[in-house]
Amino acid sequence: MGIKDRLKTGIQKNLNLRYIKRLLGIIALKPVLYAYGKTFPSASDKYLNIFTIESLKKAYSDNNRPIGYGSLFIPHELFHALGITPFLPEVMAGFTAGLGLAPQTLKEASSHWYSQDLCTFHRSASGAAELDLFPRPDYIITSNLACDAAQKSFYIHSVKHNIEKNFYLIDVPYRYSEESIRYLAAQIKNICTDICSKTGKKPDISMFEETFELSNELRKWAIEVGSLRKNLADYPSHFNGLNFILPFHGLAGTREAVILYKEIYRDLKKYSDKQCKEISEKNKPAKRILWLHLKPYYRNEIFDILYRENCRVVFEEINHVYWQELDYKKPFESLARKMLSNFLGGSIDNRIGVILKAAHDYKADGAILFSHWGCRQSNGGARIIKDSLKKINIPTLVLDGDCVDQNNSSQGQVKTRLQGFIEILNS
Amino acid sequence: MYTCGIDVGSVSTESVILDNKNNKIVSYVIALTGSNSKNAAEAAFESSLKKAGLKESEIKSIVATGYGRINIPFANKNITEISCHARGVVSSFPDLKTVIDIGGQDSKVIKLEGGNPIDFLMNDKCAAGTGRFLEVMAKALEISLEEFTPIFNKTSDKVDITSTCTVFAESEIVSLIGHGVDKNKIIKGLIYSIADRVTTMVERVGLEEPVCMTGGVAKNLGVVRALEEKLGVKLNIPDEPRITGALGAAYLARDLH
Amino acid sequence: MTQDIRDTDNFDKTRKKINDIKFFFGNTLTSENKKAAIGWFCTYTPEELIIAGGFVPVRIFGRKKIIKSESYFPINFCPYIKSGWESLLADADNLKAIIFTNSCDGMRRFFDIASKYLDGIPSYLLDVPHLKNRDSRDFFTGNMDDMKKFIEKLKGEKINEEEIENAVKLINKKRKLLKEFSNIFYKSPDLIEIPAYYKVMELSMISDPEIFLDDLEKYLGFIGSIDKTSTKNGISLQPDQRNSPSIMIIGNFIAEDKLWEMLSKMNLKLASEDLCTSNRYFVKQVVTGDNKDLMESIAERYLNKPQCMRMADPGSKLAEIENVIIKNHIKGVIFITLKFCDNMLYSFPLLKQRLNNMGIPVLYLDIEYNNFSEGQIKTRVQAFLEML
Repeated sequence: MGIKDRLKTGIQKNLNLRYIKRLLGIIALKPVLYAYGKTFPSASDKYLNIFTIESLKKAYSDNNRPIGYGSLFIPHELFHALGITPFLPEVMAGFTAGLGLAPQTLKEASSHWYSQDLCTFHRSASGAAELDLFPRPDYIITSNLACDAAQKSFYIHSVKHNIEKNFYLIDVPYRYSEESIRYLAAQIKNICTDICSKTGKKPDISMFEETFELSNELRKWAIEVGSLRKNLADYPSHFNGLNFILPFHGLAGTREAVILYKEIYRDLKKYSDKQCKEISEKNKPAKRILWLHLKPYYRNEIFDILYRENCRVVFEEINHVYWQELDYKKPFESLARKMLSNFLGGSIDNRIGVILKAAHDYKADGAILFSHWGCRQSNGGARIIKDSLKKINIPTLVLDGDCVDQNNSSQGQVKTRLQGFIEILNS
Repeated sequence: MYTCGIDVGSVSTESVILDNKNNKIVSYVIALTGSNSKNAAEAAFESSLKKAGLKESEIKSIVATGYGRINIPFANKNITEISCHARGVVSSFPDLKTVIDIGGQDSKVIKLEGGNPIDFLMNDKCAAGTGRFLEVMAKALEISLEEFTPIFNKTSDKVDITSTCTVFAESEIVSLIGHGVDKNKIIKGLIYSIADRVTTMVERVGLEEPVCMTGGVAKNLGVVRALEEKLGVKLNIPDEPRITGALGAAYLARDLH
Repeated sequence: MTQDIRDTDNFDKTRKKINDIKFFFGNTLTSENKKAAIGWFCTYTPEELIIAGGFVPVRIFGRKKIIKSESYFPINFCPYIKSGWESLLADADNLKAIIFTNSCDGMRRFFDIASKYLDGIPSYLLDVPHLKNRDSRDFFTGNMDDMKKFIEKLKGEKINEEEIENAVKLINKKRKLLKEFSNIFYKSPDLIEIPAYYKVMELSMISDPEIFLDDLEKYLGFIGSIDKTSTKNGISLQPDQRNSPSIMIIGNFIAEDKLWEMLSKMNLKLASEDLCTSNRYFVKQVVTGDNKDLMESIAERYLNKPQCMRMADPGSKLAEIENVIIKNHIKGVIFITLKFCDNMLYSFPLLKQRLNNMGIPVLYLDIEYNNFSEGQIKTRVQAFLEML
């Protein structure tokens, strides 16, 4: 049994906060961590895992208070600037799937009356919280951006920990307008002022300087990665662009995220240089797939099948850099603009715009929309997305499944649909 | 030269042998899959050979399809039932635009353009809208499935079955029987309820004529009639709607060369 | 026994008459709309602006079997939205325009679908904030101004202050009378039956407000006249004497005639409600004043009305419910939601906890729309009532 499997079975058998802390205590020790890092096939995967574990270690250790729960689409630069250690329950739900804990967390959520019709990212996170597997938060910041679920489920976390007064909802308007920016910037400012009054930190825009600089650096490298991928004909089999959600959002504004994105760039660059030499040997170019929404985070065959059938995911919608550079002299307005630029907010046209442009830039042959069970905002737009792509002759597979609950779809059916779609692409 | 297509479904396995010279079906076999799909495929293949009076060596190539397609070592290739069904129906109806397939455990709708599949939808983890639904209901009503069509034709009235879930629908009809509701009206209601389910699925992909219906349920003329009424189109039915997938697989086996 | 002192025959006759909504609301039901109608869905839509523009605000109830709509939305999606879309696909031509809100993810996507696939009928989305404070009120006032411009375009001219004022008065009066009516209903469930009550509620949202108000006034006048004669023939509007427990219903867009009939037959004593199809529509007036901006006052009313679960602060919603339960001596809660309503579903774990602490039992039901499966629901409600 490899180290990863040992980790998995260990935590499955000892599902409690003390064990998680102990485990993180051991694995986050530098020599162990770097030995663990070496088990990954590329530098980007290595750093992804190292930084993830380090950030978890930080959130689970009481020496790094205050700790803030953040929903995925809030600007986490806010936490880093305020000196708050972020913890992302939705990302943790992905880990519950990866570690095979979701059956337990989902069961727990059901027994606390979370309906099975709800999104499993939130349900699994809530179940884990009810099992007391998460560190106690000092602050919670969430928003209605992209979906209704986060603001609601995160409020329940605040009640559980008796910190309703430290619960902040960023109310993101529907339209991008100057009024919207003002309304939103004022909210972000109020949240900062309020938290500073509680932590005793002096509210001063200089605290944003370093964080924003790092966030802009991440943005720059993410754009570089994107440009590189536009002309990449092939990929290493271990590369999966859907793995970088935590650094892309939760670590935005940290040095780690910058290092990681540089590594992703280098990995792909190395591969593309090597590939240039080999490209003439290949006779059949791979089918280029644009991936929409997320993926299952438990062990599954989807990407192996795609790879085997000579299909490459050339871009994932969620990796689109949608925001402009942040300006630390106007911190609240900058963050407000970042949130309002998110294409998952407001009208579906925002998302369609990003998808069509990506389909064009990345020369997609087909698109796969992973239809995560219970994701109203994404699946509710599936029809329009499919029709819009059809107009530019790109077929779309709406692949029903669940990102967290492996019992909510059958592998056989997923396989048949995927293969059926590939047959259509090749016909 | 001959080719063979084998469709290993969750309920039944079909094997079709095709004469490549004249595109005629030499023989076909429909058998229950049982618990071992590999054995079922072997048995179906052998008995179709026997029926055709052919030797294994005379079969140029074999394509396997259906949910058990992966596990057939003697097949040259496995291809999904989407492509195979499309190929199978096109052999009898070349201009076809929409295929509705309702099998024992699942159902699917395939859109075609110039004989090739361009889009499809398969029903999810649910027996509603499949042959299984009718079977469960027939059992609850203590009536054989064969009686459904004559009852559908002679009954003018129906009872609305509101539950779409098989389990709930079963208890709903049990309670209807308990209230002394005429069984014939319940059956008519059930047939319309399955037609509603399938109509919804067809709407999702978009209906374009000509339309063809395949799968075991296509043999139930009551369902066919109700579905035609709901969709407002005429449904073409192949001579043997159950072997469409296997037939398509046999054609695709021919195209391998 | 209360029955003994009543003149039973007379009581039954009066009761039958009171529940004859077709009779009392004849004008509302038969009058052809002279003015063009603008459709709306969510109770955060300021009807005042539609009326000020010279249009009739008509809430779209759907009530269509979902068939075509299935191809536009996922299987697990709000059935009210699907059914609303089905009815727009069938007869949107009767509408001059449609107002949507960004009340929830579902509505957001509904607007997208309507904008893309509904030709020729202009639609507008009003951005409703989730917070309730000064900033959000100002922001909402601005958004309402934008909606006003949309209506003005349809009208072909500006809407003036007086037109808004008159509309506010009209809708305020409707709210006041509906509140009066609902109070009578809560207090004397043996007089006004549940289906009749919700029929009136529905009419209040889909009819020309002037004609409806006329009918409603007459209707309330009739009910009042029985009250005066109450001591003589034993019919009374006094609090119900039946020994059944007072029930509160909490739900979203619940407009299921078969459900209301079923509950009525079970003699359920509905003493309070928190529904999108009832109190969340009519409770709370627009308060105007000399020094107050009219649009701001309207915005304030909508943000502070009994809130939908979509709003930011579930805590204050729970407190709202808790107060109602105590005030009205509620003994049990029926939580009934249309399927796949995330905001409702997420409110339940906390509500359940809170009610447990209060010792109030709650029954959880989720239903489809226009496809009511009486068998399963009936058993559960009956068992719940027996338990109480």
